Amino acid sequence: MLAAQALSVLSVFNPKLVVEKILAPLTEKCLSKALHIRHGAILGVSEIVIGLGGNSVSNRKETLEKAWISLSLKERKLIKDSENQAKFKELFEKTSSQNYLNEVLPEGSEMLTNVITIIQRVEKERLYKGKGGEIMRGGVCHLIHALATSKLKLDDSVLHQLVKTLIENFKHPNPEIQDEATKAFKTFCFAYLNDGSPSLAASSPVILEIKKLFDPSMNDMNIAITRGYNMAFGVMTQALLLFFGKRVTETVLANCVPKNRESDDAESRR
Amino acid sequence: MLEEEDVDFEKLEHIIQLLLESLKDEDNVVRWTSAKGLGRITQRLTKDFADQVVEQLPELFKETETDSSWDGGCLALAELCRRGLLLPERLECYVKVLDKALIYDVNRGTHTVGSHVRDAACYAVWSFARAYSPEIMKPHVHTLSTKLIIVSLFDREVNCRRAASATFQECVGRQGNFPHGIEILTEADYFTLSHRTNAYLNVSTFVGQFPEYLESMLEHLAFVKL
Repeated sequence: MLAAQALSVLSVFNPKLVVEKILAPLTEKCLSKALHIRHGAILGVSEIVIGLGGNSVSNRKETLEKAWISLSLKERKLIKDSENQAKFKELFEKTSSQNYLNEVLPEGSEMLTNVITIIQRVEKERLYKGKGGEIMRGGVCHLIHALATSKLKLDDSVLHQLVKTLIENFKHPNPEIQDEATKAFKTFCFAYLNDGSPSLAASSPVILEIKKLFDPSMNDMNIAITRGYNMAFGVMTQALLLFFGKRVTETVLANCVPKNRESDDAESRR
Repeated sequence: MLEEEDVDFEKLEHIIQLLLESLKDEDNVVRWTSAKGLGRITQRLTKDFADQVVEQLPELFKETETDSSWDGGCLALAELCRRGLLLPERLECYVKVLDKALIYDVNRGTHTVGSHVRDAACYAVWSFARAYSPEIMKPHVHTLSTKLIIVSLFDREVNCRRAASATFQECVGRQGNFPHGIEILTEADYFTLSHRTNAYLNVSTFVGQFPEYLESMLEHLAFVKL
């Protein structure tokens, strides 16, 4: 992950080179038979998209802050930026906050299509399967997070496909995958289901898919489903909450109360 | 001073063979002592004999050899070079070997081995920087400088990052033709590279602004680290 993030911060120095020499082979490797290669590749593609979209600095800040917590004051003082580095940082922040995607990955380009269809191809080839294959689910969620962070323009059919993938991952019993899916859904909602988004309409396939979460979140016997779906309600945008009206709050409130059933789950109520 | 006829060459050959074998020993101290011993003995040999010993070293860097052999080979290279026993004609061959050794990392099931090889390779490059003049080293500056930067920024182990940084510093000081050497040295030092996240996300951006290093950094991250 750290290597992928480093790719993200470095990609702004030469976006064209990154797309031609790094992104192209990496998208191919996302379908590699070796799990560690395809997982690394999908993280790499995601982080490059984040970096070229002008979001690498905020992404890096979060990781650096987490890392600095574990250091003592003395260690922080030793690592602290020099004057030269501080000056460079200002320049770098300006350069890296620009969006290079329109320039190097224009709409309709083959490379952009390749990046967007990675998830479809991974699912089609059943690359979640096999020993440890579930970590690919985390990778796919991260790619959705990256696409949404960069606010790439996506068709309704693609958005529908992405939501379906996220919902599949909400159901996964592994809490780490559920967390990744929630993080991706949060960015997805901000990018595509916010004020003025065309997908925020009653007939939109994305909305119809999200509507399917309400009933199972209350009644399903599988606790992974109730946990995951309730996590999804927690990260919806204000616009989406207003769109569904009282239904979300009523469902969540009802889910807070134990139902005296065998399937009652404290984690879901949390 | 011993004359040539005073030396029992049969015994000497046996000792050198033993030392070369010990360079592959499983134990680190044995490899290290063998390398030093080999250096001392080779220093006292005639140029032809010394060159015969040096000729044996590429055998240690075969793909089929173990990590211990690569480590011993790097240590021997460094010791021989430090004593001025590696002729400049052989430099190209050894730079190619060190190019691989600097990023040596072999998968062994649930873990990988090779940090000792990378550390020893840094020592060997350090001794190259001290032994050869900038004119001789010039054709290899690009290979060595990019690899040293990659190791100092992106190696998993802190000792390797620091070793590579110290070697880079030595190369900049002695050779003077490493691109943007002084600027990089002031930012990528012993302390800033000690923290992996800082090296990957902070220091790397500073070095990344120099196009000489950017492409190999990106390629290493995408196709080796990921």
